[in-house]
Amino acid sequence: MDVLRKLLQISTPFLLPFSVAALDCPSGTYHVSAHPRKAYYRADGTFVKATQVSESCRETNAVYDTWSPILKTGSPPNWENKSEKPSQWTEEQRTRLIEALNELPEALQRLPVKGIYRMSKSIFFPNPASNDNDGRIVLYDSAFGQDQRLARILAHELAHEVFVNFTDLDRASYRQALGWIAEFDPESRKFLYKERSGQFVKPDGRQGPNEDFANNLEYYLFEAKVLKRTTPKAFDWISNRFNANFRLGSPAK
Amino acid sequence: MTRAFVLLTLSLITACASTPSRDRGSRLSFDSINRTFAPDLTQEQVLEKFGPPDSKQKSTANERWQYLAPKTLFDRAQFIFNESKTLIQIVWNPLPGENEMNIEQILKQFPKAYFESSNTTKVSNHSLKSNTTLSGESVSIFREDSTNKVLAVAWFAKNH
Repeated sequence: MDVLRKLLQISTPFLLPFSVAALDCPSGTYHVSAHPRKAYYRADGTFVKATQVSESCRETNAVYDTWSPILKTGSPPNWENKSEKPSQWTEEQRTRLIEALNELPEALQRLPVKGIYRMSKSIFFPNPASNDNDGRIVLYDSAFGQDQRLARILAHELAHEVFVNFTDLDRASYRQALGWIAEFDPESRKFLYKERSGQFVKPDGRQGPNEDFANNLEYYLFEAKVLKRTTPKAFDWISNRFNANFRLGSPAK
Repeated sequence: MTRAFVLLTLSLITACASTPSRDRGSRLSFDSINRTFAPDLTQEQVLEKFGPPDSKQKSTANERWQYLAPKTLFDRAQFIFNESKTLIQIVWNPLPGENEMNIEQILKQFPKAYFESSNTTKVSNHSLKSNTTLSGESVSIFREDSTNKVLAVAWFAKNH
């Protein structure tokens, strides 16, 4: 029996094209091919064991319809970290991504992201994800590690896009509420943000309002108590800006 | 009669209170600052032109006066003076809805100036989103690259 199972696992990739053809998914569903799945954590901390996922048809929804067409291969256009190499999406990763997006608040699911790319390793390893100036996100291999919460990684990257897609008034209001002020150094002829007063949930938030906001939004969703204690002004600002539905939802349908 | 008098008094008080605020709002417009900046302005002259600041911060090397926008209290302008109390720098922030948030609009205001991208700073190690300083001879512009909006404009004395 064990021999048969091992043989099946080894031959699965070769059987894949046939199994795709074998299962004809009806309208309103999408095909998930059989694949091995590593253990991982859902957004709410639930541990999901490793298993062999069976081939199935899953119901589509707005998240699937919006995001599956923008899962891209290759490097984002004009990607500055030239030494980073593109990687391929696996069936397991696509499925997990859709599940993780389903767990996020609708306000994040509706952002006008241009593409999610897969690359193997960040130049700042073990950094799990990055983004560019033009609405593109990169997920590295480390984003799919067993100890990582993919939904949390996505929430952080999408928070950067939230900040960019805010109105001018929203961004100015956030900077004012938290106390971010731009200063100019005539010696170096550089503008920089003067580090705001108060504590930070993560040290890199000291670099400016955009990273500070991304960190704070991530903590608002995943460790609200920590944010409330550390940076209450950010907690209040996010609470006032978003409605009561701005919280983690149920896992993938 | 008494009620009418109270209402009239209240409206007069409100009118008087809001006038300086509106007045200061226009005094701190881009055009006003752009026309005014001169590196040898004294604190007295700044007070005369712009009124008292909302806050003052002193350090060993300089003194910083901060002006806030009426109503929103957004950071509107900072005037920096040297030890001799003469003006060496103004940092001015466009407010939401103002044309000066548009980078093209700002560049048009300096038709003879040449700006170079002197510094691009990533928002963090793991984000390629950036802010760029466009440097001119005595004016620099701070641009948020992902939105292409102007964050601030600085006028500065060349010798400081």
